[in-house]
Amino acid sequence: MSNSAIGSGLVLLGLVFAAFAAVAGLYTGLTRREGALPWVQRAVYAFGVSLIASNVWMVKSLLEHDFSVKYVAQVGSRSTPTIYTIVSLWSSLEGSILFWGGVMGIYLIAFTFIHRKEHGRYMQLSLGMMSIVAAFFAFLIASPADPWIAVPAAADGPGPNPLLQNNPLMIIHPPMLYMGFVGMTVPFGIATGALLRGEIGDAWMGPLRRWTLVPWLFLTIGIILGSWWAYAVLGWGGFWAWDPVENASFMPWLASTAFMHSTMVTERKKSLKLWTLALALGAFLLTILGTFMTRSGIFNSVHAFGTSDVGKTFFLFFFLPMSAFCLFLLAVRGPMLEAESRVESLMSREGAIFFNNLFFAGITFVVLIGTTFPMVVEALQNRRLSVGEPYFNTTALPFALCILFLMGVGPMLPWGAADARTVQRQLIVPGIGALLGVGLSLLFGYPGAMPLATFACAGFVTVITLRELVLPAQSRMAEQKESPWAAMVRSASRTPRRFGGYIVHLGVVVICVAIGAYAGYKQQVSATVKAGQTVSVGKYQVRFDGLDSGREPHREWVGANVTVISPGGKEVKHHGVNSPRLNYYPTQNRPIESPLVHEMLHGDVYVSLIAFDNAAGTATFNAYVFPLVGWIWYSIPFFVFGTLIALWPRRKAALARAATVPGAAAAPGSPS
Amino acid sequence: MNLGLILLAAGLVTGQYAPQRQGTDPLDAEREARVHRLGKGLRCPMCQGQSIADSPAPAARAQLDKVRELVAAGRSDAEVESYFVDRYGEWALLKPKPQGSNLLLWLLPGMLLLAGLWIILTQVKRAPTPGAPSVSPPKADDDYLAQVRNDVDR
Repeated sequence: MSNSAIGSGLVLLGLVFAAFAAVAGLYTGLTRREGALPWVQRAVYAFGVSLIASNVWMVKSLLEHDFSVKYVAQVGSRSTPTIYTIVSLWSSLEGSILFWGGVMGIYLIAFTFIHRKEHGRYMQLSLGMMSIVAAFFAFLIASPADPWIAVPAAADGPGPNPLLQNNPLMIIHPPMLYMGFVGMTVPFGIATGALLRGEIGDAWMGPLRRWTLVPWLFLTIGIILGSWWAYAVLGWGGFWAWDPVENASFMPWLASTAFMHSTMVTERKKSLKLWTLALALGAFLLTILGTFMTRSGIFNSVHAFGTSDVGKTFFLFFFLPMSAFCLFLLAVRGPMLEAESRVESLMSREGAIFFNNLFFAGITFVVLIGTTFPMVVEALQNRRLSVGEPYFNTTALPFALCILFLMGVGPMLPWGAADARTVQRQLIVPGIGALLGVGLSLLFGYPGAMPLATFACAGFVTVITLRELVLPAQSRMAEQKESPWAAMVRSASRTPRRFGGYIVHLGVVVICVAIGAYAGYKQQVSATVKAGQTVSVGKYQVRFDGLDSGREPHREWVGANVTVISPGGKEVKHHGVNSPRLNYYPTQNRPIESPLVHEMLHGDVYVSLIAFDNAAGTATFNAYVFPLVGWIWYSIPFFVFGTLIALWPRRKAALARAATVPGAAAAPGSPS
Repeated sequence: MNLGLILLAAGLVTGQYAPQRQGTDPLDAEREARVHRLGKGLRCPMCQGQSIADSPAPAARAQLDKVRELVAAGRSDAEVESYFVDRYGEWALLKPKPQGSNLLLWLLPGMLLLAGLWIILTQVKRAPTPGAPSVSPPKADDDYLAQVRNDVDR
């Protein structure tokens, strides 16, 4: 049998299983036939295995260079290095949707397996809802975006998009984002399952939060790696351009981050229930909208993989009906989600979280309207306009600064109502932290209102966060006579969510400081020089040592050998493949830049080759100094470590108890 | 001369490597900063949503040269912007002019913010006015109930 027959057979099999799981799960769930759960679970497993197998088979076809498969003919090439041949699985539209289906399979298998002992009462509905999404993706792979169509075999193919071959970060950035996007299906299924069943108690809150945290972490890593990739590859010295596709990944991140905070109020105060659920559903809908935006080709973007019908199918037959369904569910079940307590004072933890959610909603809305406005205006008024970086910077950044400030205020305030005098007393040390932030930046000669406000908030937040991290351990040391290390580990394991959350907050502080320093204090020079001459940028000198060139299997390049000279006189050569280059791919008429990033902990020297003249022996550079910029991506360990701590199973016994007490899943007000 | 340079020379002769545009010489620091700021607000026509200050594409560099030329000629920011709007339409501006339906871009988020604030404020229990009785007991017609209240309050 040919590769394309096997591959598309597996996809069709997956479609059948997902459709069965959706129909069976929803029907038996709504009619309360809980004996059907094993059959739903088996169908979900079968869907997952089929889609994963189809992905494995595609990798096999790519490695075999089987150009009779349409997708291999599109992105494969005998001259592409093996690793890029494997990652070309997700380098183009059809392959990325197939990969998407495979990731969906992994998530659904993991969710079904982890909760296999759970009662059928809402598992069937949740699995049914997730299977609807899975079936839609399987349908997309089977029909409008079929990568497995058999075509007459050619001798060789064009190879994947050169931008994707330019840097190893491309190997890891897309799968991270896909895991984030696809993973939001699971909390969506949990939430709609609970809403459909009409049993909206506390039992679903834990799984809902944990299963949002997993894709949230992947989204975070994916977004940060994407910005690193843009910085290291695109050669313009920026890392975020408010490109529609960047926005598409940012919006679900914003919504799920807001969810993670409002869920605390829901659990502790039994209020904000409707809003919390709306955020969970909203995060999912925004991933679907994002997929539509990424895959439709309606946007002019680095990420546009070409026009196709997939986007339209998505929008009309999936996004709109799903949105309507979510609104309907929330409207029908709204009365069950009344708050059980009211807020006593805004000077409290819940008050801070209210404002946190308001600002997160504000940024999400600004990004949403800014991204879709040009589309709407063009459709309604036939007028073309652009909404870009200047708009987003002036509208979104003030919200971001408010959120950074609240990150300090929130953890400081107690639940309920704060005593004004206690708050004043607690403010002293963080206030000193804020002044220290401003003082340090002035000392190093960094003025400017926006960066200084950022550094002040960062200092304020850091002091409060460290205090909240250390105080519980300190009291254990004093009362239980524990060693510092043991006290730290014990207090962290007692409240893993709190502890993990604060570590993530520290990561956010690191990013904010890095962005503040980058935006406020970058230096740029453009110059055309002859060999032997230098370009001064900031305190650094960049000496041009002459042109170079080379050939690799998939491209040729022209580079400008340079030496970066530090203020102390230390010279570092960047010659040959390490020089700032222009890469020429056979399929592209425009060269792709590959800048030199001279990385240091306190900042980067960044040189891109703009033009060269072989006859005159000159090269034209854009040279930049970016203080602290690398810390945007060095912050990833904070997010990973913090999230893992928060996800760590607290106590098996306690979790098992929560899962088996039937009353815990019951509606509020019912006897439990 | 190594093999690489021979290759490079061959490429240049056959026109395989299109010579890249170098751009005009920068102005003094203050005016160059203006050029950069204006460039940040103008869309690169060829590329993917980047501004002409950020894009390395030849067309973007040509446009940035034009901005530099206009700034050197002493034109105001508004004049530079309208130069590009006249040629490429409103599309050339990365931040739309706040007029007509474009105002929605600013008004809608502002309205959302106000609505959100209002919702938050309605969530808060009204603080008791100092001095006022915290709970006003409903008047009872029933003597027995009144007696009970009296006993309880005492």
